[in-house]
Amino acid sequence: MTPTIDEIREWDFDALGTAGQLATSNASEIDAAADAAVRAMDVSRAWTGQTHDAAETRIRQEQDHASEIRNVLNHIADEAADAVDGLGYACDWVITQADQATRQGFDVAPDGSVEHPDADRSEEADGIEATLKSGLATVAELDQAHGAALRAFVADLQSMIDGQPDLVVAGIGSIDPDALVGRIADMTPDERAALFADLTPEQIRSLVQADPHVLGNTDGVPFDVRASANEVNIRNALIDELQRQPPDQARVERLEAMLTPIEDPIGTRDGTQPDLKIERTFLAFDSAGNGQMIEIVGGLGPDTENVAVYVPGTGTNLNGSQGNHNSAWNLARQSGSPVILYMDGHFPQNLGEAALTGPAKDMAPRLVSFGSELDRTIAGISPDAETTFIGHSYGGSIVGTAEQMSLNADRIVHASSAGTGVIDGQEWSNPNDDVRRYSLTAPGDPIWLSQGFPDQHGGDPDNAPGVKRVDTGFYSDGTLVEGLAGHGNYWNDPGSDAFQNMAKIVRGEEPPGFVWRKPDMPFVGGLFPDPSPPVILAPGPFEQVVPIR
Amino acid sequence: MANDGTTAASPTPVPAPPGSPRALGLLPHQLEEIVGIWDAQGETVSGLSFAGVEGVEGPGSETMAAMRSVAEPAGRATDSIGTRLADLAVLLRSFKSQAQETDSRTSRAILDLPER
Repeated sequence: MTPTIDEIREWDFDALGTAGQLATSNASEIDAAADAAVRAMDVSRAWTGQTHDAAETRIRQEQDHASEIRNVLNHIADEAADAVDGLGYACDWVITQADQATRQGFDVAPDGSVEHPDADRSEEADGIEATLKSGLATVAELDQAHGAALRAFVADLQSMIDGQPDLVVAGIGSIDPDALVGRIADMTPDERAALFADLTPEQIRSLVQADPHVLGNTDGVPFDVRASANEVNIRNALIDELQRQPPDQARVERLEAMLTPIEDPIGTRDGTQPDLKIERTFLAFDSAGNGQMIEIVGGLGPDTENVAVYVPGTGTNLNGSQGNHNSAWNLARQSGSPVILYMDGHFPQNLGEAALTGPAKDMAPRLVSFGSELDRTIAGISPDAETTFIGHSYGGSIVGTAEQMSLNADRIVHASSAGTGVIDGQEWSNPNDDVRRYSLTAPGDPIWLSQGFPDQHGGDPDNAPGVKRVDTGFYSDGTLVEGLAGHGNYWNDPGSDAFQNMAKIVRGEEPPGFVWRKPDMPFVGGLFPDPSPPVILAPGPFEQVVPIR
Repeated sequence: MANDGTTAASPTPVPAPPGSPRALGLLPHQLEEIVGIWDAQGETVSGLSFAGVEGVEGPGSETMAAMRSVAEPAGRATDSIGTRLADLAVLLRSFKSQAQETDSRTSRAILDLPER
C-alpha cells in the first residue's frame, strides 16, 4: 500500500539506524562470547578423555550456532542500513518536494495530489503531483522490499533459535545446511549452478547464514547470492578487526567504506525521481592478509550492452583499494557499463615480487573461471552483452596468462601491461574467434623493462601480432602521458586520452591508434634501440608520427 | 582419586578412568577457569537486549514494522546460546570430583543435549 506524505513524515529513520547498530553490536557480542568459550578449551591442552571430547564437540557446535545467529543479525543490520540510506533518502526527497510546493502556494494533499487556487497554474500543479506520486510509489516499493527482506530474516531467526533446521533438497533429501555447504564446496561450478537453480530463497539464505565465506567466494554460486553473503562477510570482518587489539585502523576504514553506499555510476539523473545511492556489491571477499575481493561497480541488467573486468597491478591490496575502486567507478561512468574490479588473489606488493610469475600463474585460472561465471550470468540477464578484460601492469600479465588458459572475452586490453602471459610457448587460446586485442603503453613507461624480456611475463603486447596499439595521448590538462607517471596516472584522470580510449573499447567503439610522440624507452648510449617509431605488427593506420604537443 | 587409589593433593591433573593410559591432564584450577569463562560468556549473551529495536516507529511502514518484530526471536536466540553455555558450565563443574566415575557419565549427559 502506498503511504501518505503525512505518514512518511513520522517514519523514524534515526531509530531504524540505531536498531541496526544494536543488531551489529549484539552480533559482535555473540561472536566474542562464542570465540571466548571455544578458546577456554585451550586452558589445558593436555586435557583428554570422553568428557573433553564431548565438551569440545558441543562447544564448537555452539560456536557454529552462534555464528549463524550473528550472521542473521548482520543481515538485519545491513538491511536496516540500506533502508536508512535508500528509503530514508526517498522519503526526504518526497517531503522536500511537498514542502517546496506548499511554500509556493500549492495545496498538497497527503496522497500527493496537488492543486493551486490560481487556475492558470493547474498545469504546474499537475507536474508537481506527478512528481510526488511517482516519489511516493518509489517509497512504497522500497518500503515493501526492505520490509519483506527483514521479515524473511526474522523468519530465519525464528527457525534457528535452537539450531538451524535441516534442509530438504531434491535429489539429496534431508541435510544439515553446513553439510550441504561442504558438498557445494566439492562440486564443479556447473553442478553448483544447477543446484542453486532448484533451491528456494529460504534454503539459499540458510546456506548463506551457515557459511557465508564459501557462498560468497565460490564460482557457480549466483552473483546475487555471492553479494548477499559478502555483505555478511564484510560485517564479520569488521567485527573481528574491531575486536583485535589494536585494530588495523586502515582496514577498519576500508571495511566501513565498503559498507557505505555510493552514487550509481550508470544511473539516470533527470530530477523526476529520487537520485538513490546504491550499495556496493562484492562478488568475492576475504579479509585475511592483504585482503582480496571482487567488486562490481554499476548494476548488470537487461539493458546492459557491455561489461568490463579490470585487473589492477603491483601493490594491489584491500587497504589501498579506494583508488582502484575510483578508477572502476570512473570507467563505468564513462563507458556506461558495469565494471568489475577483480582483486581476487595475492598480488605482488613490490617490484621485486612483480618480477615473479607465480602470482600470475595462481590468479589466471581463477580469472578464467570467474570469466565463465560472468558469461553464465550475462547469458541469463543480457545475453548480447560483450565483455572486455583490462589488465593494468602486472594485471596485464594475469589477463594474458588467463588468455593462454582459454579465458573467453570479446575484447582484451593490455594497459601498461607487464607482458602477454607467463606460460612459455603457449599461444593465446581465447575461444572467441572474434576477440579484439588492444594495448596502451605510454612513451617512456618503465614497464618496457618487463615487456622487453619475453622469458618473464611473455613479451611486449604492443608488438604482438593481432594487437592494436592504442594512443595514450595527453592528460586532461594537456600534458603528455609519459614516463614513470605515465605507467598509471591516466587511471586517475578520466579525462585523459588513455582513459577515454579504454572507455571506448569497453563500449565496443574503435579507439584511435598509436601515435608516436616520444620513444618507448630512454636512449642510453646505444644500450637500447634507437628512439625511432617502433615496428607495429597489428594492422591499422596508426603509425602516424606527430610533433610533441 | 589418583590412579593408585590414594587421595591426590591439589593441584594435580584430574585422574584418568581406570585402564586409561594417561591422566586426563586437567588441573582443578584449569577446570574452574573453563567453567568460569563459559558461565560468564553465557551470562553476557543471555543479557543482550533487543528492546531498542521495539521502539522503531513508522505508521504504515512495512520496514519499520518488520524491524520491530526482530526483537522477540533475536532475544530467544541469544537466550538459547546463553543457556547452552551455562548448561555446559554446570555439567563441567560436576566433572570436578570423582572423575573416574563421572567422565563417562558426564560425557553422556553432555551428548544428551540436543544436536544443533
